[in-house]
Amino acid sequence: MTEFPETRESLLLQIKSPANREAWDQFALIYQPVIYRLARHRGLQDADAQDLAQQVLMAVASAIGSWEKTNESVRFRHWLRRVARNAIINVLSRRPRDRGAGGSSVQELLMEQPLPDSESDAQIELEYRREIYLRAARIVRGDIEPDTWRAFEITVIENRSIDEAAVELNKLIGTIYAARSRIMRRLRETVQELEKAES
Amino acid sequence: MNLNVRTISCDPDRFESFLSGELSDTEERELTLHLNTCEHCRRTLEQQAAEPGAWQEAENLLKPLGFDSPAIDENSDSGLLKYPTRQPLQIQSVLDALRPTDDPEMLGRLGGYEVSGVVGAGGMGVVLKAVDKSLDRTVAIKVMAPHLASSGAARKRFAREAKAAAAVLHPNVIAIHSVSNDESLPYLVMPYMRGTSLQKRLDREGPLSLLEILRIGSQIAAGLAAAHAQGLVHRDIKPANILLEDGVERVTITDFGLARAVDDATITHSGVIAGTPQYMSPEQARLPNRLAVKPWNSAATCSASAACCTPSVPAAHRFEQNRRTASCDASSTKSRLAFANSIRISPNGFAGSLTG
Repeated sequence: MTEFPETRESLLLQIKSPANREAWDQFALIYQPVIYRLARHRGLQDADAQDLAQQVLMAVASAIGSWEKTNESVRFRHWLRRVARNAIINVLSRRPRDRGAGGSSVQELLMEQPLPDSESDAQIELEYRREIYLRAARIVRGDIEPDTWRAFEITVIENRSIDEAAVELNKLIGTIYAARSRIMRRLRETVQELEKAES
Repeated sequence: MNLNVRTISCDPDRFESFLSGELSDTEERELTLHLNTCEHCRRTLEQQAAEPGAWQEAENLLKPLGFDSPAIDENSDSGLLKYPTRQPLQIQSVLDALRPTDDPEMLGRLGGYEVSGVVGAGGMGVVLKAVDKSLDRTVAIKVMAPHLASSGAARKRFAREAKAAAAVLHPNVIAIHSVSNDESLPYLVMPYMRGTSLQKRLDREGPLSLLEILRIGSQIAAGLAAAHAQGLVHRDIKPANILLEDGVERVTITDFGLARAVDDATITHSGVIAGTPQYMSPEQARLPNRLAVKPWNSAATCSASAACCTPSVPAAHRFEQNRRTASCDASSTKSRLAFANSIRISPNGFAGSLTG
């Protein structure tokens, strides 16, 4: 699947502060899948959802250069999230028949003041939260034995019984209980760390 | 190993050390054996690991969504693997939902159809190859993905696809034999076509000859014209949705899943994004005003069909290497001219019909 080298290479030249550049990297990494999933939930196909994610990230990125000149007092991460939220809601609620052909530009995604939309807000929050969990899961999973992770995956994510997991993995029931509890603890800690880094 | 031996007594203080990985191997083994039998300690350990809400949240947020997550940046700090594709799971869950058949050659039964194989899987569902016993003909059955079958919006979209495609009777538009929307898995039955998609053909063989481009392009245009005459806009014309039948020179437009009746107000109000957002290149991002997000109308669909043919043009005559960028550019007025220039070598009528 396509990644976003364009965003990194061409647009990041506009970001002057290295700290902001790093913040943007993290932001894009998290928001790309968030926007992608929001779009998929609304029935878009894979390629279209990727395009949409690209479109929103591009819109946000294109505004960074001008932001740095004027808004140094606002925390960059917070600004990014606010701008992204507006762009996502605008792009998801875009009603094509309201517009004249060819009139609207990518900048409008940012300029338009979106209507208050608590449903979309909740969805963005949910997908953001999901992304944090998915990232945490990848981190935890990377440090442990595959079978240990499977014990957690079977009994928690797939919501199957402890007995089934014990049979499938050929382990004692006690081992399954121990494994899934320890992973749950690490997962929760990792989620908290990621949240802190992003706040 | 004797599972009934109680090696240690219930000791909640050990749980904290265990969870943070501070117990020795022997102590861990003892604890594990104890957990084998002690209901009470299992519960206590789980409560200490994380509050019930966190367990629930992990289950809710980490379970598969039924569609691929986008690729994970391999260079990212976590350095972990890409998420595996969900498609094999999706196919399996559709096959599991089939009813048993007496025919050993077949995979299962769906309605009056004997399923003999899987043709492919996409965003909305799985396409099966099957035999219609009563008419003794081979059909393709598009079955809605099980995870979508519970969603009202997805069912509506599925029904719309059936209605849209069934409304158009044209040799270049996929026919709909029948629809079933009341079973647990909605499906629609279409003729089975032995062949490949334009996308696969381009991937495999590269650019097409001018004659092929004209043949395919004119048939797409004819099919779309028939749809437009019925007031339908396809909105998702792309090479993957163009079928090329083996043996006969026939082109068929499929997948009316995003089709919209020109006067259908319900969809514009439901928050569904109409159409394929244009792909942005870095150059375009620097010139934001060039980018127009246009509503889909019949003209836009025609542009898309022209864009479909873009990768079909031999590379030497293409103005862009990147196929997706080219598709986008071919959809914008300015670059339609560039596109026309790039294929100046071809007959005027052809360039005109693609870009007009």
